[in-house]
Amino acid sequence: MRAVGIARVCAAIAGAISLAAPARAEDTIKIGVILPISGGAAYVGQGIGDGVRLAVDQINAVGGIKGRKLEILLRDEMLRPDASVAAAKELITKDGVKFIIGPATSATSLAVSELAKTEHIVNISPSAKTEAITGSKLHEYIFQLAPTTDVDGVRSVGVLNKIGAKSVCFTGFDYAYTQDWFKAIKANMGAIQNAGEFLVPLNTTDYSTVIGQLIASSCDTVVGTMYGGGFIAFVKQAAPFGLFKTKKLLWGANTGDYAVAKALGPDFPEGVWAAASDIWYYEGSDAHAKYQAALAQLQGRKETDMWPITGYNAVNFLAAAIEKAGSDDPKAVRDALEGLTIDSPLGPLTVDAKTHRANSPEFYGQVNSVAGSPVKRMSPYELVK
Amino acid sequence: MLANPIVLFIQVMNALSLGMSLFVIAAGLTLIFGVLRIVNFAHGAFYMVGAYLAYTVVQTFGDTNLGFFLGVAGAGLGMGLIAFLIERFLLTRLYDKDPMLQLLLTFALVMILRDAVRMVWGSDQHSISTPPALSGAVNLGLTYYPTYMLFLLVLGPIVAFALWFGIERTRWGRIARAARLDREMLSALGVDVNLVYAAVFVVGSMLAAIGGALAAPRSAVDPGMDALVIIDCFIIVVIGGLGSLIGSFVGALILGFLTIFGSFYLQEWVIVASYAMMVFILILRPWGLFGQSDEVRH
Amino acid sequence: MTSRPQLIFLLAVFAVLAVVPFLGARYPVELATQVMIFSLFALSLNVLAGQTGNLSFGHAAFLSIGGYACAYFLTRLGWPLAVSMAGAVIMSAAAALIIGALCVRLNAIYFSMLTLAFSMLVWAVATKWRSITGGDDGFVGVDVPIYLTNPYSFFWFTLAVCALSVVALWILSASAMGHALVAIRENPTRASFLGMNVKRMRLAAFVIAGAFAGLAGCLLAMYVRGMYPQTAFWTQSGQVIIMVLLGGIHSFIGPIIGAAVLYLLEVITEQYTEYWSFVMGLILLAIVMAFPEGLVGIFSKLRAPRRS
Repeated sequence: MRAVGIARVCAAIAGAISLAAPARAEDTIKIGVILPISGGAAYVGQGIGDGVRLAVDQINAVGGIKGRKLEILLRDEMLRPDASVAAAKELITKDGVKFIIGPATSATSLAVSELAKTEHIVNISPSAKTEAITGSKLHEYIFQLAPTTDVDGVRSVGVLNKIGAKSVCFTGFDYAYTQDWFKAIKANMGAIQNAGEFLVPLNTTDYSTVIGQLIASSCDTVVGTMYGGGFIAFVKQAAPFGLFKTKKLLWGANTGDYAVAKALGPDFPEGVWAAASDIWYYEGSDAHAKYQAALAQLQGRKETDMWPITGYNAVNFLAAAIEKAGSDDPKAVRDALEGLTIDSPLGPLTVDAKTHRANSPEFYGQVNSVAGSPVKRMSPYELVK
Repeated sequence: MLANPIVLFIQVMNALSLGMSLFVIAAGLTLIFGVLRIVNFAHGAFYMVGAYLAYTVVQTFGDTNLGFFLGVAGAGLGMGLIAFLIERFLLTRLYDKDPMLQLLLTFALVMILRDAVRMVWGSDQHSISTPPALSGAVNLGLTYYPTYMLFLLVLGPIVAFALWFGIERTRWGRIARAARLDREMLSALGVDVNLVYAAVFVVGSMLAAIGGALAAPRSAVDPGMDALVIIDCFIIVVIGGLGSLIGSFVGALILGFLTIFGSFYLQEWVIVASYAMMVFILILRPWGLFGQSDEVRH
Repeated sequence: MTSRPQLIFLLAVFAVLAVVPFLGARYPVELATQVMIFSLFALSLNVLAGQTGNLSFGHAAFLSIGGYACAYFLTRLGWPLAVSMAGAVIMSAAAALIIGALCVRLNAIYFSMLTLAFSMLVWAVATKWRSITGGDDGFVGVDVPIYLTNPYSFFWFTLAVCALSVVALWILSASAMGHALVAIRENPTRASFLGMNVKRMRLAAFVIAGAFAGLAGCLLAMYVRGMYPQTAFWTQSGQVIIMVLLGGIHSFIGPIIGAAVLYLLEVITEQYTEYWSFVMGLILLAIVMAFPEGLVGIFSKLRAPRRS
């Protein structure tokens, strides 16, 4: 009985290994994409993935790169660094992937970047903002497209000065992005006073205490970083206490995005200052209009979210670099990426040859009700480069 | 800052409100354990399903008072039906088997439901507004306080009383209590024990779903909302004593106060404190504050 | 626990593993390394679950303690490999001694819940103790000795560590102590009448389980070149429980089979669908529902004392 069972298991394992062994050999350029697909950040993975798909479709529609089509291999990062590394190893060693886009969050990005370093794989981080990725952990093969927290800090202080903040209190999830961004703001805010920092653990569900502390604080402006579901919960818990009536708010973590505004609908607090890497209603350029039209078709709605542009730019950088290098050798592509400029939907974008950063532009603005739209938008807004 | 009576009052109210909203969910978990002796890891997933069901109902009927309460009822009924099917077609076949199989089943349900909500509702963030009748704040004399939080605070004791009454004062409750002690004896007496088990599992699961629906106006409805609430529930149920209703009530209050006042003094270090407290209480009283040790029960 | 067919199976497994690097592809080597690490982890849990009947809901705590210790010793302190590994094992064993001393007094679900509480405490500390663990970003970048940077040499190293661990655990299982532990599982009261110090024996099992989990954690940290708080989270403990229960807790090789099957299924499902969790859940459900007899035989022994 047991022997039969064991034999069955052996057969299953053998089958599994043979299934997992390399099988495909078409001449495509494979791009490994590692994003959060399950869990609370799944909407981010969905968005970045849409941008990647759009760019790949467009490139393949005109015949690919020198006749070779692009192929996406998507894996779930599960918001777990070790799972991200395992997925990346699989992509590299089983599928022969030489380019990886993602993951989305700072912890998973750092983990995969470490692997890219040893495996000599080009790794483009589309959306993570942590300094460490191209700061203390910089290596030859990692490139970071999103503006880092240092850049965000300078841009945010610009907003603080514009809205006349005299005294600021800080709140947010206790994690690297929050700490880095706050440090950058504090370093640049000059005469603006720091009225205190009130952090909560990552993924907290109850914000009552910190809301009470913010209301009691003497600050006139609250700078915060809760994102996604955390921001939604914070806002709904803070509104009845009147936090938004007494304080001005500047929110990081891409709160100007459509996805969050749509979920909150009328509950989105009026007048919050926020940022987003893209807004569908920007009408500043033809390139953006063209991009939005294509994206709207892919997503099946006119009101697209901000995440796709990060994946879109990542693929276009990669494609341009492969084109320029004339091969898909990771070392040649990496050299080509340094100092490379592409025409992004928001204008020319350059990866700095030394820092490996593109510091993509972002929209900054005040979220307000707009006539005829149930979803609030940034109005006014400006594109900050 | 807590020297200010108004601030102190608000924080105490916050702690009570948080504790009571968690109690509703945890009560379901302890009920199921108390009678069926199952540690239901899927309880958090049931909570999530409840929130999503409420979201759908509210989308259909609009952000009105009626829409919201239909949503809460729909969450309870919908999840109750799912729980009934799970109990009838899956759990019931495992009662005579090893408890480990039941544990594996609840793990399987967690994995299935996590993706099922994404298949049905997508990956987007969702949200339910506070119903008009419960939005805003009421004047409590000392200060204004959010109506919805007051509602949760009052609802907890009502649910607790209803459950207590159902368990201690009704025939069904007596049968359920007997079923947890001696199943064979009860069925020998001609009682349909399986029906009792089904009823308890359904009611316990409905509480999780209703808890999810009630949490929705204070949180986001997203595919990750199950992972953390289940730990909060475990803490409550374990420190209160597995299977003890009053224990869960007290446990929920302890966690509520610890979270609110812990955040006040410790800020983000509060996570360490809440698990340290759970460990501490369990070391002192392994079977929880109101639980009985196995030796006593048998 | 141990038997001749199982010994033959183990020898066959190691023989197959020894062939893997010669298949000419790197992916099977990587996959086999991952499977070995998780098999060792599952095997360590079974010292507790299989030999004493107590199911820890927080075993991942020791995986992460071993992992962080290894990462810290190798990278921050620059200790040699052998010293770092020994240090990591000692750290996780010491943690297991402290946690175990408080847990082994309890039985069944109360034991499970206290272990769960401790593991979440470890998770919370790992998230907050930034100077040692790197906080929520994790301990990124572990300095692996240069001779282990090649995936093939790391495979051989993992194989050697796992083989030695399996031998050690097999000897333990077949030893007088192993039999005593099983006796305790079957009937603790009788065991204590026979003059056994039940608590001390269970504590010994807890420490051994923790030590080998720490060893697995050390391998994991070196393999992924980092260590992260998620490794201590309850879902990781849940995963290893599934592995052990799936394979069966009453045989020595059960956890190895369970770990291999679950891990490979997960990896494969993930390549084909974004709803991998759904598919895995259905498979698990099917196994539980359709083949309870297959598992019942394995579990029935555990149930017996409860009915008496």
